[in-house]
Amino acid sequence: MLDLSGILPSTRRASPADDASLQDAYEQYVAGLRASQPGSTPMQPDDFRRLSLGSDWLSGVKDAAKKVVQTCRLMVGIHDYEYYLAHMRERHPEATPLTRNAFYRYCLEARYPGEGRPGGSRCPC
Amino acid sequence: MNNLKQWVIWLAVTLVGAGSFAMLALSRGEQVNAVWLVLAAIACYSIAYRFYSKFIAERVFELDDTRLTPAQRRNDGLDYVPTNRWVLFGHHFAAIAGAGPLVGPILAAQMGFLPGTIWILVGVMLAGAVQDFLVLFISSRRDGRSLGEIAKQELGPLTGIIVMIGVLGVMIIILSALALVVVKALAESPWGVFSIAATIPIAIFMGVYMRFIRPGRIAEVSVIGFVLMMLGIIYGENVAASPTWGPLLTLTGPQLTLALVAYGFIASVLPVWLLLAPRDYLSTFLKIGVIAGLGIGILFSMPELKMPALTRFIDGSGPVFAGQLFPFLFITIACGACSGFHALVASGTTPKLIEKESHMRLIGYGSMLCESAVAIMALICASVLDPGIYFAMNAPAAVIGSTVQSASEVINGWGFVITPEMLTQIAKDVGEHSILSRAGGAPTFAVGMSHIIAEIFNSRAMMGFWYHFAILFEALFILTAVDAGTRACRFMVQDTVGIVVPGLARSTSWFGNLVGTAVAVSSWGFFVYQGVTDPLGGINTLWPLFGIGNQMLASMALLLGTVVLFKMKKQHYAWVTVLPTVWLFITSMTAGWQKIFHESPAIGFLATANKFKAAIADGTVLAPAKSIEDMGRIVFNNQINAVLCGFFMLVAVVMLISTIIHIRKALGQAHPTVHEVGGPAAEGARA
Repeated sequence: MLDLSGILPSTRRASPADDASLQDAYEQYVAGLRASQPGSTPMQPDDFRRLSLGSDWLSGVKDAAKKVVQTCRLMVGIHDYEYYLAHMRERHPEATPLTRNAFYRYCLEARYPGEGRPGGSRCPC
Repeated sequence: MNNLKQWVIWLAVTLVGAGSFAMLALSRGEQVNAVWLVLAAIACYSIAYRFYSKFIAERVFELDDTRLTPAQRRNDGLDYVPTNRWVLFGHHFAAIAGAGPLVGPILAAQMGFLPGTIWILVGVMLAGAVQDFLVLFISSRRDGRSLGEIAKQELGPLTGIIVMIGVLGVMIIILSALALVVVKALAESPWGVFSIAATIPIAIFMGVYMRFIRPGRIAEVSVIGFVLMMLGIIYGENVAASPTWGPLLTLTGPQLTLALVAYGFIASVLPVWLLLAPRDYLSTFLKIGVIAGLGIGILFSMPELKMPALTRFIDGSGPVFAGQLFPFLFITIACGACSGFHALVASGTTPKLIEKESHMRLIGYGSMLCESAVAIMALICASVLDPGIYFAMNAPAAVIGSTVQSASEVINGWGFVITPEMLTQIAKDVGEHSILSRAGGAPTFAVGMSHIIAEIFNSRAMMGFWYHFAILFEALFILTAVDAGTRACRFMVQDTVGIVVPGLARSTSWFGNLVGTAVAVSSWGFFVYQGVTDPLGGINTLWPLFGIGNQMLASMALLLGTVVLFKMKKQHYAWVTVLPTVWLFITSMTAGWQKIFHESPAIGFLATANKFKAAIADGTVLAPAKSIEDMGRIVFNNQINAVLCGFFMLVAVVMLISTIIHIRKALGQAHPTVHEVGGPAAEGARA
């Protein structure tokens, strides 16, 4: 009845944010390795991903914890800034994204009734 | 083999559900354990979700994961974001869960726990959850448009305007009913007043902290706020006992009403970040925490239900609200079974965040099942109390008098055993002067909750804390709703006025803001004041009015959905929406008619008005009123209520006519005529 695929680690889909931060981490690792041991070959990106996420179980817990935090923030109308940054980097690389602070203020204003959206986004009763 | 296993499992679930219902319904004369109620509810929810919502998703709506949702089509990382379904489920549940399901079932408990339970369960499965799911579906196929816009698009501009005005009317009534709940809970309660008042500086501190000191640190600031709030409750007891502060904070109903109106006005012209947002954070997290905690608490303590399955008040003579089981039970329990306001939420932010169409089943239908579970918990809270205590808390002073002696005498006369000592003791346990005539749900919920917690720890020492915690939780939530609702009203008033005078619609000036807010505040303030001075308690009048409006709104949303189904050429499945619509229409129309024209002054507004008018003509002053002016006001108030009730009915009838016209038009067409965006054919690249 309940499909838990969104929570379980096996079928977990990497979001753009995950991919982006992993990519950053991999590049840092390669640069670091080249600086300290110029002669060695860095490991492949796939191996790096597997090792950096730790065991499947641990990454599952981490992922679930992240989702809980996301849920709590979304409950009060604050969207995921990391997702937004990754989205902007991927789709609109030429545009300057909002700063974290401005993003937060945008979400805050959007949550409550205002010009053009009188309904608000919650049930009063 | 797998199929067989499924069959066995679902047969078992059905049997458990049926058995639990049998336990609830058949054990007359002896107390039933709340666990049976919980089991019956879980079985109903599981079966409805597994079978009925699947049927609606696959056959009626034909949800299609290859179709782009608004979030995928217009993904901007800000407003349109494909969101994990469980994260979105939490968001949607937090947006629909409010104080409504905590009040209605508690008032309805006067008829016994069984009628309320049956309506909460049947209503949510066939009406409430269907409505939420339906509106979410319709909105997400239209780029996440709002209910008003969809009505305009599918039913024409006139109907769109009517829906908007109807929403405004219901909004004003819900704000006044909620504000009255707070007034009833805080009147003559210095401890309560202190702990609620303390949340204002706490929220402002949080707002400043988040704006200037550490922006966006929601978890951090919420923890700080929570700790300060708990200190407010703990030290509230000492403040209330203090000889200087205690009397100063002991406010009467009318004083509290004025304070609340002033608060509503000031709070809703301040910027949102200063007071509304931080209070919203506290109330949202507190609400989710209390709901989860109470659910666990009920499972742990497994309390006995002391309320009988049915009481004699199904005949309409009940002290909490007047009127017979049909139709008044069905409008008293509005939110837990079916709430029209959810149509606004389901066409708000949620449709813009859906990742895949198939997720709507969990988010739309599933969240509403959870909301219904909250209503069941509220019903349990009211039913674990001694019926004598329940009636002492919820019957108005005009019926039971204002002393524990008179109250226990009247209630014993109804056949529920209660002594004056018991009433004094329970008031002492929760740290109040008196618990008599505190209708409105919040105090009963608070006593029930502290009773359940006291049972878990087997100690009554902390009851005062838990009582005021529960009051704080509801009041905090309601004040947030009053603040946000007043803002919403203001914009709706401006929009409505803008239809007549276009220049006034988008007035961003301070003057426009102040006038709009003043109109909004005085509209709901009028009803609260009327309610608080009403000797029958006010909730008596306002809650049915709200229930009628809310159910009307729900039937309007379902009517809109019916038109959409016909336009989609899905008329052979139209019974899915027609069935609940017919029922909601019958109950709310009958209730509306009775509230206006019933010959008994306890029910009918016009009968009350006429009674007082006749007395004025004779020159006699009838009790609650103290002078002829008072009498005149009562006549006027009742006439206003009758007009408002008639207005709700009129709006619904206009909507019905418009629906029939559009259905006939759709039947004449050979092909679907809906205004959907982004069908499978119009597949584009992800924007």
